[in-house]
Amino acid sequence: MKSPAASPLVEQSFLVPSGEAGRGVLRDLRRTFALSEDGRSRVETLYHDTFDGRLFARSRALRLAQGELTLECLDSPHEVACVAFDGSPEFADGLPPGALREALRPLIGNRALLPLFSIRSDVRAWRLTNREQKTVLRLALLDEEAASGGRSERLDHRVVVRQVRGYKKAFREVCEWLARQGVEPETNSRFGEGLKALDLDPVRMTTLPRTPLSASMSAADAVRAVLHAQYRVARANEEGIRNDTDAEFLHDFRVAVRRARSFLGQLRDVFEPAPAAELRKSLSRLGRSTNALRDLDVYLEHRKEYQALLSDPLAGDLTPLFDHGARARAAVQREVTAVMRSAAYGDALERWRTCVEEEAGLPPGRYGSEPLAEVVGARVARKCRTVLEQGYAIPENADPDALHSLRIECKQLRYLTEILAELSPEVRSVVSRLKKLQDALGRIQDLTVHEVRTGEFARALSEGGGGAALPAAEVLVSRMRAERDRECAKVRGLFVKFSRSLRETEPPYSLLLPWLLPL
Amino acid sequence: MAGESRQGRVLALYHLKGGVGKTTAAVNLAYLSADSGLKTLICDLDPQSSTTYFFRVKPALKHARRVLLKGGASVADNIKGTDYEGLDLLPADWSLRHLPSLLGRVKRSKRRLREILDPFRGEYDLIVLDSPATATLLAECIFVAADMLLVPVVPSTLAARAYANLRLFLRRKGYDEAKVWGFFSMVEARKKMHRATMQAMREQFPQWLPATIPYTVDVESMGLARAPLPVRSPRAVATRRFRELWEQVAGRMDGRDPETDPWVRSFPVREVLE
Repeated sequence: MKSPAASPLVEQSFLVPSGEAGRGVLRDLRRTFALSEDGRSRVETLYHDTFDGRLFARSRALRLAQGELTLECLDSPHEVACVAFDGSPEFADGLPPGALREALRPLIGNRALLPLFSIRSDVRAWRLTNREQKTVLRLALLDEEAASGGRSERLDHRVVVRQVRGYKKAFREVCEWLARQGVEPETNSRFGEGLKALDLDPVRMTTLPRTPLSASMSAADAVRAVLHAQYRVARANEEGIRNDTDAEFLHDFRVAVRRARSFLGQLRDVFEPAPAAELRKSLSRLGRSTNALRDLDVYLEHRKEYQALLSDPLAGDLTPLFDHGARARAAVQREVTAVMRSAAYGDALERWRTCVEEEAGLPPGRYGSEPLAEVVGARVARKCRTVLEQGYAIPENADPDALHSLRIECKQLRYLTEILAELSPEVRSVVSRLKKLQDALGRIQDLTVHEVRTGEFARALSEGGGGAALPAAEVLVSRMRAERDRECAKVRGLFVKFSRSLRETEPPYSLLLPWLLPL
Repeated sequence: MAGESRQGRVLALYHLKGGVGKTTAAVNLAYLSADSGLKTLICDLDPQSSTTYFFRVKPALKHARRVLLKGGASVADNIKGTDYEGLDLLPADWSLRHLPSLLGRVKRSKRRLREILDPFRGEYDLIVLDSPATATLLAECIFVAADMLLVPVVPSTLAARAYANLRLFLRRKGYDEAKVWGFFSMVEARKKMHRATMQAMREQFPQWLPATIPYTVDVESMGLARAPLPVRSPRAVATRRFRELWEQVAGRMDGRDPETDPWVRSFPVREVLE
């Protein structure tokens, strides 16, 4: 027996321009086909994404409308999954069990879902009937408005023509009639139309400047554009940090501050030394004020992983330890919020703004007018040499302290290399290898810091009468050390892969060939 | 629901006696199912094609028999959308009068209808079968295909006898009696005989749904209006009763525990059937 065809829901949307011409088309449509009105309704659709647009980056959109939460695919008309849902979605784990939760988990991990924008649709339903007064076609006229952050924009009228199963002729006739009136079929998704109307970018935290960099750009203009992008990212994340919505807001804020500071330090003579040093110092203070909170965020994010290192019942004994950590974090969060409200914080951000928006705030220095590619390329070559020197010196069983210094150098090299990757895409493979090396070094650093943190929390609990956590903490610390030793052993291999990737690229890495040949 | 794979159920309205309200119940239950958000298909298996007429669909004469025997894409191509969102119809026509005899010529005939409907369980949440009054091979196809067999019973002596015969037949043929549920239809509560017959039958047979469908003008005039009762007379008593019946049917289809479900009274099968 042949399988039945898939559900034949055939639907076509047409965009009708607002204004008298569009209204005329709609009047004629109704008169020509003797459409009868079938009721009116209003639908609110709220789109969500993570702070960094993880769903959008994978061509997905999450919409909440009429008590249903739906994950839709932006490059095909299919819905991925749908679930009945009341309230506002926050995390994938908080959603009802089922296909939607399983589809979202790998896409957003433990990131919070935040409202992106809404579309309010006033819907007028029409139907076309045959001689038996039987419905043979359904139409909906949608008058819509997209809104975000107190701003709203009207969208073009939309006519959705939907075939009633088994009545192809009526559908074809109406679609052809609309085409003859010059009405365009809708090609963009409603989500896309909303984004366009509101000029929104779901990947709103990008740390790269919106104006593309070019090799011939003056170093001062280009670096200022990069610093400006970092400033915008920092500002965009402030509210999320103050509201404590998602730990990633603080992470991105810190990355933006660190990048800006690193560029000022690495590319010293691009700007006048004195104002550049002042800004760098001010950025350094901004970064330090959030160190403790970030450390605790990372520690608590590893909670499940660390508990999994221990078997029951010891794993359960760690619960008071992490609860203590969560309380400590809440206190530090309050401190950070207070800092962000302080005048000193306001001054630091204002200094940053002045430096990136006004040339007088950060005048060009000795190399300011040189081409970007040359200035950054030369600096990358030097920094690369430092990394290679330190990397070659790594013994088989490297000491975490020595690796920490290599990690800082790698981080600085990566920030610079990312600018080069904007100019020359082939450098991206170097960035990718560097990132893998950095991730391993970062994990070693986390384990080192968390070992100390675990000891501190266990002692604090023990002094307060919570002695049960102490033996579990001791076992955890020993497991962390073993884990760290395993990671340390991997570093040399990753370093070799990274240095090999340098050989396959054009300048400035090819300048390092004498260094690379021994590999 | 999008993205979730459906596991549609099959609900058959059946009785070997005619004029007991099978089509009325099938049309209203299918509408209420679609109205509750379930994607629903109603299959008109009766050559009288009353359900098809109710939904204002013009049957393609002499095709239904061939379509049903062929199955697959042939059935899919003949499904028609109704006036109501989420409710589709597989129309009937006069050619279906030959269906029982033709079924006898195909292999594994009793499983034929089930095999035809199975692929549609992925597309529809509920498939409602409006059966003709028949005790032929088609009836056995319906017993095999249905997850729930809903039997409308008019509380009269002859109807009670016909119901007893039906249950006896099901038992003798070894069909799963747990999927058979009765409800009283065309009830005139002011008639003493109706009240007494209902009481006697509830004591005598198991698995009655408590909702009773009254014999009212609203129900009678459904054919005139060609629309389900909840659409034409949303506040009528009969509409309320059909809503209750739908709730109880949906509850049973969801597999609510009869021990704890206050809607349903279950009784042991009496020896009278043996």
